[in-house]
Amino acid sequence: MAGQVITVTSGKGGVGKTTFSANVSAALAELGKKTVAVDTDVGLRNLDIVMGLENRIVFDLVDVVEGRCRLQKAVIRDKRLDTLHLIPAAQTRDKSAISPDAMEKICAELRHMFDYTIIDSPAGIERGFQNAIIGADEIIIITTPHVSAIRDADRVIGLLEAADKQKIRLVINRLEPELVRRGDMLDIPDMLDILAIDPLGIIPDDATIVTSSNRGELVSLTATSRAGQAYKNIARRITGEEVPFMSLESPRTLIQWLAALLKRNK
Amino acid sequence: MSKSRVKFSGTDFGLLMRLEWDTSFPQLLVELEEHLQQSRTFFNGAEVFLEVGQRPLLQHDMEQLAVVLERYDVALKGVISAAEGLGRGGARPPIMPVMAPDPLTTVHIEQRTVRSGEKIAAEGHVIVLGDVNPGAEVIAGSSIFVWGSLKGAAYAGVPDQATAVIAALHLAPIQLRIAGHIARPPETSTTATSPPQLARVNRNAIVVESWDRGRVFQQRG
Repeated sequence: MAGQVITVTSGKGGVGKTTFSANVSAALAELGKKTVAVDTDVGLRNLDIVMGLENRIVFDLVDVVEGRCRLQKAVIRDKRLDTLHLIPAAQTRDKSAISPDAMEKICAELRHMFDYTIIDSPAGIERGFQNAIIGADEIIIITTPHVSAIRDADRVIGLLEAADKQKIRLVINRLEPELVRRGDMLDIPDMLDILAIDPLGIIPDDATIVTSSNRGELVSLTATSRAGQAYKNIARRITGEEVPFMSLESPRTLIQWLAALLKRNK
Repeated sequence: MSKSRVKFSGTDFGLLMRLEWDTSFPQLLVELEEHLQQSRTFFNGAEVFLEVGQRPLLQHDMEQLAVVLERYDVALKGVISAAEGLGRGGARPPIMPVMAPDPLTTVHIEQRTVRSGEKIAAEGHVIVLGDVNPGAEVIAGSSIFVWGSLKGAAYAGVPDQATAVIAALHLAPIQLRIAGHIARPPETSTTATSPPQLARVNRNAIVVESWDRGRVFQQRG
């Protein structure tokens, strides 16, 4: 059976596309799915760093497009999981080094090699974005609960609809439940109301992401992280499993628990 | 100079343009252009009816004619054609001008979410069945009706149709413009649930009122 090509995009930069691509790819691989993460951010490559595979790069996506190596040669096997792979972007070139036609051909090839191909797209709506979406069977839009990120996500959804992409799902990243509760952050119904697409998952803000990204570790492979759990749930939903949305309330500390107990007994 | 095969004459309902069809259409266009060129100031802003007799007018010809007329700022108000089967020699049939539809009364319907960066523009009314999101623009020569939330920008009555209105089930726009008047919502954000509202021009300012009856349209004739 042919695999699925899924593109991760957002319009706005810095909302967590690369972290998401790395972690969801790892979570899919951990479920036993043969998965490849593809970095299309030519000139500003990051995915290899987040995945901790920078020092294994020999060939990259542009080498494949320009015929210096076969596609298989550019695929890097992950150091932790046999099922996880990476195709890095070139750092010394720019977006014009890849044409949408070439990208479509590569996606068709990857579809036969892997169960899941996760394409990490660059920020923006120009050539790099066009390259990233052309071969996709499904698009995942990442946004944060900020008005500017929502606005850009809306713009991107409009472009995807115009490009006749039918399957578009939304991931809300870096949600801070405490701020939402106080009314200081856009809440989930507001965001879904504006963007009017199906939600795939919600990832709570988690400080461990920063430290693990810097070290090239993936939170979706550690058991304790709440964001990691959210990535795992999303990966299972991608495979078609029905997974309920997790509660976003942070677990109560002992003192909060005691306070609640006392209040109820009053 | 030979006798022109393009003739203009004044009639009860306006300027009549008659073309002698015994020559090719491109040739007629050339002569028409010469004619318009010579009396440029006379024809500038004029409204004419085209008489075609029994000759079928091809769409292609019509488009070319429209281009030439537009170049000299002449408006084509209508086309007059003789009914089929009437003899040449007989009594002249009564001429009934066929009016071109008024572009301001045409209706453009958009059934979808209009998203950030998208722009809908039409000469007449615009009806959106869906939301207009922040960052989207709707521009109309007449009125704008949104059967959903209007959160983007809406410009009605462009350029100078002050009777145009903007109405939405949930009116929370970034900016409204009607015929050159500009309004923005108050800085304090309104609640998510408000009754349907309608914006119109009253005494040189845009006013917003609740949209709960149709009388506002009837008053405007």
